[in-house]
Amino acid sequence: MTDTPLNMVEADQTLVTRLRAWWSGETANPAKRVQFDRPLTPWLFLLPQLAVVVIFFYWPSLQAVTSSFYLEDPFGFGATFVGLENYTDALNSSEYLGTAAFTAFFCVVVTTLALSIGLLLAVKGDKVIRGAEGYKTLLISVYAIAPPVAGLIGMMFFDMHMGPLTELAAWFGYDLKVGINYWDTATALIVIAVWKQIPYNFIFFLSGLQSVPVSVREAALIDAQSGWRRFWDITLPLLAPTAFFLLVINITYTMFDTFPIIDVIVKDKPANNPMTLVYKVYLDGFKGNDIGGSSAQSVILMGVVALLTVLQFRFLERRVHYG
Amino acid sequence: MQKIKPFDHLILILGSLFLCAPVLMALMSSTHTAVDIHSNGLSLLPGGNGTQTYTKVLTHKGGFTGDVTGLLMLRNSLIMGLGFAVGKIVLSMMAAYALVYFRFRFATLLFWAIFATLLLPLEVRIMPSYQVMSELHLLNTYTGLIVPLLASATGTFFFRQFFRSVPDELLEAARIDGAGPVKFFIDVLVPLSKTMMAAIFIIMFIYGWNQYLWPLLMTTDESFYTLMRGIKSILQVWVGSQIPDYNEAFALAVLAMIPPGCRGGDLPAHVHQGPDGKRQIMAELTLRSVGKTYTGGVDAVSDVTIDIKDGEFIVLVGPSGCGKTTLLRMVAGLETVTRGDVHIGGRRVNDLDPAERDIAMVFQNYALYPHMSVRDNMAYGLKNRGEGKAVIEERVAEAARMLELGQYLDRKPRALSGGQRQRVAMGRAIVRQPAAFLFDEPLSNLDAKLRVSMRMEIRKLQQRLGTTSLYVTHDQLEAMTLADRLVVLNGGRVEQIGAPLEVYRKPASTFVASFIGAPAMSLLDARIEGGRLLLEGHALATLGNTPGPVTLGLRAEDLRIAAIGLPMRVEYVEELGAQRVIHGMVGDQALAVTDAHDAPLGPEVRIAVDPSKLHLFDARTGRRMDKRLQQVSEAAQ
Amino acid sequence: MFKTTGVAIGSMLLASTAFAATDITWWHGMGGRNGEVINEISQQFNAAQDQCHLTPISKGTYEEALSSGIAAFRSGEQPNILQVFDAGAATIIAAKGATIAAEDLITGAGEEFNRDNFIAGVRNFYADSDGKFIGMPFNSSAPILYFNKAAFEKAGVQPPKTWEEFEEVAPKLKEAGYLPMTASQLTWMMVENFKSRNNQQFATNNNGYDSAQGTEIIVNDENQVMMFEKLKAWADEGLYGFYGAGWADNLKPFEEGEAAMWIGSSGSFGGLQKSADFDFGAVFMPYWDSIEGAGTQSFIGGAALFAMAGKPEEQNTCTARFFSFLTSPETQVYWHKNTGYVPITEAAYEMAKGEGYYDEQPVAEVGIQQLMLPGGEWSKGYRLGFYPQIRTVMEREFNRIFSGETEVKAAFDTIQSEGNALLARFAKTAN
Repeated sequence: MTDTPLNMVEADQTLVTRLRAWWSGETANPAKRVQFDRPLTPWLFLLPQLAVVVIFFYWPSLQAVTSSFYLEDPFGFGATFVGLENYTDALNSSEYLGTAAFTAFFCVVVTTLALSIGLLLAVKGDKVIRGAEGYKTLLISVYAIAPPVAGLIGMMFFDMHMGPLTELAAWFGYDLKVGINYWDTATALIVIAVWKQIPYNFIFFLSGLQSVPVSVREAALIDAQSGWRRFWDITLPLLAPTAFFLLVINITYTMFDTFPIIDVIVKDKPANNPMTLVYKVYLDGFKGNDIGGSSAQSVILMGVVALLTVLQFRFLERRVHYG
Repeated sequence: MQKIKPFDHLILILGSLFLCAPVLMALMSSTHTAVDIHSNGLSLLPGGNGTQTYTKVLTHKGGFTGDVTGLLMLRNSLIMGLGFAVGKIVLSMMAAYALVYFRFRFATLLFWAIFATLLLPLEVRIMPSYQVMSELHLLNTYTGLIVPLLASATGTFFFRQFFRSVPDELLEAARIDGAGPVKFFIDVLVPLSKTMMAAIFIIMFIYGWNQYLWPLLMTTDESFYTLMRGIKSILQVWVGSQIPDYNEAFALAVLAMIPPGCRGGDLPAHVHQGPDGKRQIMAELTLRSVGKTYTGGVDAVSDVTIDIKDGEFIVLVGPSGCGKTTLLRMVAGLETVTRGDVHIGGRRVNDLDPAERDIAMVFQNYALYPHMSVRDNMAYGLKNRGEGKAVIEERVAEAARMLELGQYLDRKPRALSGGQRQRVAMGRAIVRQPAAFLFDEPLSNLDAKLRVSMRMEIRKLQQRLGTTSLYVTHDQLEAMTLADRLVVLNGGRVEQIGAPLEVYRKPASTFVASFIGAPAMSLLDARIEGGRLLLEGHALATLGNTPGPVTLGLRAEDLRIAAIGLPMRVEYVEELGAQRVIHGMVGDQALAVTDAHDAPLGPEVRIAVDPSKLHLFDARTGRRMDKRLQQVSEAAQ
Repeated sequence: MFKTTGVAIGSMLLASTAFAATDITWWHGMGGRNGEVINEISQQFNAAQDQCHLTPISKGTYEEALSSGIAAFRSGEQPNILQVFDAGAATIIAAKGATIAAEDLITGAGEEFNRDNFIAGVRNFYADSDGKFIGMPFNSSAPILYFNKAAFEKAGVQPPKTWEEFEEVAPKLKEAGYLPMTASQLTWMMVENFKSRNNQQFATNNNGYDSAQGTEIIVNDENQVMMFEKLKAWADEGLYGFYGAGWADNLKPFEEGEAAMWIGSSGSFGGLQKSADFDFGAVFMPYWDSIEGAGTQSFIGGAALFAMAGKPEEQNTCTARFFSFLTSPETQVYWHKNTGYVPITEAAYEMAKGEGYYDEQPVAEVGIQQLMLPGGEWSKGYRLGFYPQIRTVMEREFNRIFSGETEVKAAFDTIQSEGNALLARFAKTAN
């Protein structure tokens, strides 16, 4: 699953040649050297997926775009066309920009921490694992904890009144106020989000490491004295496909799947607490019934996410060597 | 093995603690009372209220927001996880199949239309999706809970990657076995994808199970609450009841952790496999001016004409890239024929499906169906052709006896050795009793020793069955030993067609001369001058040919060491046991000589050349020239 | 999965034909004990007559109930009755055609209706500017000050009636080893009800009642800023504890006996009896003596019931009957006693009093008495669109005030401008 997902970097083709190729069904690189040549059967196989995609992907996406130009009464009695006002309102709002900035920061920090700790444990685990399955079992057992459960556990740990971590901070003379102080809450969110994601990264890194051929390891042992060098020069490049895959997964996770953690931690009251763009969409749209504003935010988010995905594949993925 | 330092253990212990202790505490806390958790927080010790809490959570109605039990939420979560995973697998396998295995209009467009969904997860369009769902009256339905989540191509992507990694031969084999698109999908791809399906199932189940935001929007009716939604609703504080039922929230959390905790293996293993069959029918196989040009203008095969008689064993031989496999696949119907005609048993088959051509093919990697037993592998092609059970059984038994596979009939291909798999692949071809067998380098995956013995078996079998066969190999020795007639191909063209010995004795070109026979024929630049053949100034024969430069071909075994003759500097000697091959230089041209003696050699030896056994080729075209031998030569001085 | 849904729908259809009674549904946003009482009242209604059958369904929180109701309305699946909380009132009232005015519904069904039967404090909040009831007030509460009796005895002081008094007693409570005060939901306590208790204008256009167009909130005025500057100062001096926007986080110190006073809802009374194992009392929410005309009644909090439009006549009749049933003194007293919410009619209040309920539970009377205080010009209510978001803005700024990230005046300037921007957006939706 570390394979190139999509061939984003296609050969230079003009639109016309592309269209012609689409029409004829010819592709420069057919998936199989022999394919069935029937006009209708593939449509039958594609129909269910296409129907779902059209109804639940394209229709809502289109709806988001159209709604974003209106200010709409939530009950559907009237809508005023406001042009780009929903967009300008969002982009001029310091709160929205602050949320966007936090989302970016959150992504970078959570992804970096979750990946590096996961990798550290995997590297150590890889060395030890043959002798001690125990660690592996322990670390894997908490894989796939649902985010709201992680949020619930985190909420208790950071509770203002009796959370052990709050008490720990107090012991160091710091008054940890999760839920009140912006950065305290941010810290809590980061810790919980990272905590939840480490086992996942650990598993994938570990299996990546264990698939490095023994001969390569042995060659590295002969060629490089320092373990650190071996790691940098041999292990890490060989892990690059895994790391790239995990990078994509972790960014997606931080942007979207942390929603439950935030929702549980802020206890329904966002107040001054940091939140992600998705949470904001939910808050304004679902709780605040501002359909136009929330749609505009959705469209902006779609743009950002699509751009990010393309960038990831265009620039980062090229540097990754696939064994 | 690297050394393990205590430091490594320390890191692992800390990591494990950091990751696991909170989960353990959650587990323990579910056995405390709500008030206890409210005032004391999480605990590492059991609390003694567990039975009560779990009983209440699972069965008590109204324990949460009114009328819903934990058991119901558990069920809803299961429905969501299962429904999502199964839906995902079904939809994405079908879509991936269409995208990988078909060529049709708009395929690329559809590919992008579906894969664009990878860019945007549901979360970015929750509000419009929510509105669409409410317009479709799907709020508070399982359909609404599950189906919108399916509008993402993750599964399609995984299956597409997987299908691409399935060997092409499998499809080819199946088509020869007469499987149409639907049959191929159901009989071959689906069973083949079991591992992949299991992996995707686990991933998708957990994804569906862990959903939080979507159920939050979609389920305003408690009877559709999932566990995640339930946790959320317990944590809500209503003015009338100050303390959330933390114990119940943790109990639900523990329930929510169970299925992901029991997850199985990781992502997917790649799979390898392949197909099959025979009949007593008069089957000549004729290729008339057959040519193949690929899109892009590359000519793979040009103007090949071969007449194959019924029961003949024809070997197509040539270096890689010579077009021999393409030619074979055109006969099989796996490649379209750009020019010319292919006839099998007098029928023009250019436009027929592989399955309709009455041929059987043995593939290089055998292309056995890995999920079917040996018996089923052999029977599959017959079943597709609607043969009766009794006939199938009889033929399989017959083939198994012939191939000595009787005791392996119920094994899966992976439990067989390479040679056995090869025999199963043969068996598949035999049972079909086709008009022709097509072999695509069937022995190249075997080790040298096995290859020799299988070669003999194939030849014996073919002679017994008398089925017309077309066999592709790059190994000239294999070609020599198997063929009734050889077809030597080079650059998409036929260089020579003939019986092995004929080709060996009278190679039609320098290419054939150097390709057939080991050691390869030595080719040297020579001249004809004044009725004499001169090599590096030495006259080797008296010829009536037109004067000028020629290429002289000398087979090592036609030369011998003598007291007088052509002087050759010895470069090195290959000892083969029964004989040795002496490599040397005549002037600055290389020459090899076979010698049966083991007498020590000096730095220079003299070579006697029998003028009747030398070959002459046109220096410019490389085509064979007739010798016009004038008289027995005297050896040069 | 489709089958299950089908069966569920099928059985619902069956149920509606099996009984001759007209089925009506009620979506609400209550849980816990209150949710149970709602079920009990519905059963009482169903038992009391046989033409109508009411099914109450909890839709989660107030916000979720409103969102569900909206979504359902758009797909034509709205319930007959939807509970909408105070902050969401403007949203549903602005959507003319989504609801039938409660008053019209009741009189249309031939039932008796008299505005004056309701206690003063609840008459206007869910009514239009002419005083016509759009929503039927249901669970009504008032913010009141709970106090720990032992703490006050120990400090030798009396519960404060005004903030000036608070400034006197608080240091003594602190000396006695208590955190003098915490308060939940400052938006409701210290902004909305600061306005009502001190008779301060909250928004232009008659607090928003006259029109959504051009309505602006007024929060960065001198008095409002003063209130929060005081709160901030008290917090710094250790006289007041701020624990964020969460309701329970602010309540907890009081429950655990650490805080001497807590400003909460009159509806919290039932829950507090369970969670606090000490003797507590309650008084009116304090006001500023220094502000002229202060001491007026508070806004009602809680929620009202709205009759959704687009339902058949016979169902509307049933809804009207249920509204009448709900306002009957017996039902109100039952509700009042079991939840702590105030009774909404004078008759119900008299009945509870007559039964001697307040002799047993004096705390239960505090809320209603506060709502029966003389009304001021600005204590009737407010009608502000996108108000849930405005509350969110306030909560954000309050956190920033108490964590020292911003000054009080600056924070309220922000609330003012962001709030007005939201109101202007709302005005455009409601055309």
